[in-house]
Formats: sequence, structure tokens, C-alpha cells
Amino acid sequence: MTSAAVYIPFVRNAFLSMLAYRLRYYTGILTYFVFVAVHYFIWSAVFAGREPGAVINGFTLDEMITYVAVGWIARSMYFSDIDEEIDDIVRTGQIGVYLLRPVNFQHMMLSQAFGGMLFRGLFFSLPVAIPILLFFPVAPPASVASFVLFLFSMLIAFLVFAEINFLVGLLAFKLKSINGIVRAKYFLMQLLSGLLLPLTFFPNAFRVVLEWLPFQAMSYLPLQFYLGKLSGPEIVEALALQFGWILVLYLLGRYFLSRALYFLTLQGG
Amino acid sequence: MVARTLSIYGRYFLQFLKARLSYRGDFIASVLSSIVVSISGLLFVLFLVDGEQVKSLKGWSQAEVLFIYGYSFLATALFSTVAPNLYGFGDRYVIQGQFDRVLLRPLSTLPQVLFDSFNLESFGNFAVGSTVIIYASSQLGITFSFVDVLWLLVSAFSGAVILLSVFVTLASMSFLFEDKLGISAPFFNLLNFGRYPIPIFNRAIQVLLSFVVPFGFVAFYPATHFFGRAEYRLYCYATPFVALLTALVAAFAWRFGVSRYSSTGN
Repeated sequence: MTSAAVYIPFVRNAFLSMLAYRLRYYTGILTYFVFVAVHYFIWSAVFAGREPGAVINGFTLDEMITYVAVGWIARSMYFSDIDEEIDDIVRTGQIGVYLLRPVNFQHMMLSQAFGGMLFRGLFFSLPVAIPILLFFPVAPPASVASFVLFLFSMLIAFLVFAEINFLVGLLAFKLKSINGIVRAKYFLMQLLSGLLLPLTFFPNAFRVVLEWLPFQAMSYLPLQFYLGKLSGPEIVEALALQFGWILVLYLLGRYFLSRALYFLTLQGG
Repeated sequence: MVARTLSIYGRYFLQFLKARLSYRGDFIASVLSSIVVSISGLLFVLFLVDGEQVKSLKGWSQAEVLFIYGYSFLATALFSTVAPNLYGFGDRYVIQGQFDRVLLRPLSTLPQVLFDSFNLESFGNFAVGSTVIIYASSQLGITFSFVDVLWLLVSAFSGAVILLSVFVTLASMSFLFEDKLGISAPFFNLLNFGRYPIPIFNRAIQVLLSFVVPFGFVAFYPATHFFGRAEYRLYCYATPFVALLTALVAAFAWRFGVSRYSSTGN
């Protein structure tokens, strides 16, 4: 077991490389704004013609607007793209260099994603949040406790998201290109995490399955915390399930990495 | 001359096909991925406007919303077959200087770039879109006459031309401002607006989607042909002309961009 300090340079590295792409940064902010705007109007249209304060599947319009806005701001923070990085590392053959280092590849990639999140939290999520909060009626968290829970659940969201990305990234060892799969993953996760619409809007069969899966850790669960919709025992239950998933996904990543490396062939030098 | 040019691009395509199909597992994974993308978007609409709790989007019924959503897949699928060449154009062609290769060949520059590779997977989206249209039509009691089918094809093609023109115009900017990623990403997301009935958005966005970045003509306006909603008739049948106009703008922007190209000099 190497000490955690070894991974700090990787955190720093991810932090700096994000600074390098200026235009991507600005268009990123605009992109999130557009997403929130589209869904703001869609939800307004869903509630059109109903009396104010009307509830659909457990949510009022005000709650839904907050849900959508906070959900996308949160995504701007826990987001990472280590799957694409692994793809790049494998395709260019740099993987050989990475494996020579006396560090654990899985831990290294996760630390890199963590560095990305620290950067995003400070320099991206905030500028993403400001125009959204100015333009749309976003409610503050239900209570101090629910805000603390929300922040804590961001860490879970980050871990689940990064671990899933790591698993997807490992496909690069097998396939020539994982671009299509990465794209499909984004769209599927937006739906299954509850970012596009709360799980209460899903047909029952879907909902029951999704409540046992890790995807809700990224949007539905943190937003339930933010809106103060869960009671004590429900909170404990939800957190326990997600901790379980963090462990399972970590072990899956470890297992598939070792398999991928076992079959890896590197060409020349 | 035309025949010769066409045969050259035919060979471009065959060449690409050979390379693409040599990795069969990869290809199948991509096709499935693209179907997953369109189906997850569809499920969102289906779960949201479920016809029970939520019967309509501001007066647009579930079947109408689905019809427009499915319609949008036709134009976007056609466009997507060549779109990947434009995404990342600035990086590959301008910054890395690959545009030199394009200029050295005795063929027009834009088709060379557009037909450099093809995204065959998008036909999965086309199939999903067609299925949704057929389903929604049966719900709405729409029957297709010969003219209707013709309109469907013309408007889908026009929609694809509009999309292509917008993104060619954006790619042309890469000649002026060298940046790896370019500015197309937020426009791709703007396209999301174009998959819904435009009147659910506020005035500013309606104007934006009708006159500035005309994504309203990709699905919504042409689809109203089938709903018998007379108030959009003018916009509906303007679709092919909007396509022509945007194509002219794109051609002009491209020419201007190419004239400003300076090689990396390697």
C-alpha cells in the first residue's frame, strides 16, 4: 500500500490541465445554462394550467425548478471524464509508462478525477451557478442539516460517477474506440440518475429497480437531501446502500483492471 | 465531371466502410450505443408526459410531443452521418495543419472534409425516429398520403441541411480563432430546444430558434404540417427556403474561413 501523498501531484496535474482550455471553460458554463433553461421551460409547460402549488408525483413546480437547477449545478462539480482519459492513455500506448510507475493505476485515476472535482467546485461550478441562480427562482436548501447532507452526498456522487467512468474506461483495453459508449453512458446516466426527472415520475417497475442501483446517488438522492424530502431512517438506509455500491464498484474496477492488464500487449518502445 | 467527382466520393465511402467494418465488435457496440442515446431521450419524454398524471405540454398532447421528438431524429440522424468531421475540426485540420492535405487535392474543400469519415451508427437513430413517428401517427390518426411522405423527406433533408450549415459556419470560425474545441458544444445543446414544441418556450427563445439559429425548422415547424394547426403554416412551408438561406451563409463563411487559413508550416 503506497501512501496517499504519492497521489497529490496527480491531483495537482488535473487541476492545472483544466486551466489550459480557456474556451472550453466558457462554453461549458453556457452549456449548463442552456440545459437548465430547456428543462425550466419543459417543467413550466408540464405544470401549465394547474393552480399554483399543484403537486405532480410529489413535486411542486417551485421544487422542480430548484431540483433541475441544483441538479445541473451539482453535476458540473462531480463530473469527471477518466473514461476518455484511459481511452487516450491506452490508445497512445502511454499506458506502458503509467504501469512502470510504482503507483496503483486505479487510485491514480481516481485521484486525478478528485483533483478535477476540486478545481470544478471552485472555478467552474460557481460561475455555472451564478447565472442560473440569477435567472431562475431557485430555493435555498430546506435546512442547514439538509445542506450538509447534500454536500456530503456530493462526495458519494463523485465517487460513484468516477468509479463507473473507470469501468467504462477499461473497455478501451478491448475496443478500438469507446466514444460511442461514452456518449451512451452520459445520456443513460442523465436519465437513470434522476437528473432529467425524479424517480417518482418513472413507471413503478423501473422505479423499484432504480432504487436499488447506484445511479440515483448522482442526482435523485442529493436533491432529495437538498429539498429535505427524506426522514431519518430513510437517510440512513439510502446512505448505507450507496456506501455498499462505492465498495462494489471499486472492487469491480480492481478486478477488471487486473484482467485487462493480464491480457495487455504493448507494441515496441 | 460530376460523375467523376461522385465516383471519387463513392470510393471515399467504400474505403471508409472497409476500415469501419473490419472491427465488427466495435461497430456493433457503436450502433447499440447510438440506439441507447436516442431511446433514453425518448423515455424521458414518455415518462414525463405519461398521458395520465401529465396529459400535455401546454396544450401539446403526448402523441404530438412524441411525433415532434421522433421527427427531430430524422434530420439529426442524416446530419450526424457527417457531423463528426466538423466536431473537432479546428483541432485536427487547422491546429494540426491537416487542411494542407485537403488544399492539395483537386477537389472542393468542404466535401473532402465532410466525407472524410461517416458516422454510420446514426442510422440506428433514424430507425428509432421512424418507429416513433409511426407510433405517434397511429395515436393521432394521421395517415400518410404521397404528398405527406414527400414532405417528410423534403423537410428531413432540409432540417439536415440547416444543421449542417449551422455547424459548418461554426467550424469556419476555427480558421479565425484557433482553439482545440471550437464553439460548437453549446449549439449542440441548443438543439435540445428544437426537439420540443417551440411555443412552450418564452418569446426570446422562440425568436432565437426561428430567426437566429433556426433549429425550430429542424423538427417543430415542418412537423406541424401533420397536425392541422394552421397558425404555423407560413413557418412550416418556409423550411426548404430556410435551408437554402443557411446553406448560402455557410458557403460564404466557409470560403471566407479558407481564405484566412495559414498552414502550421511543418
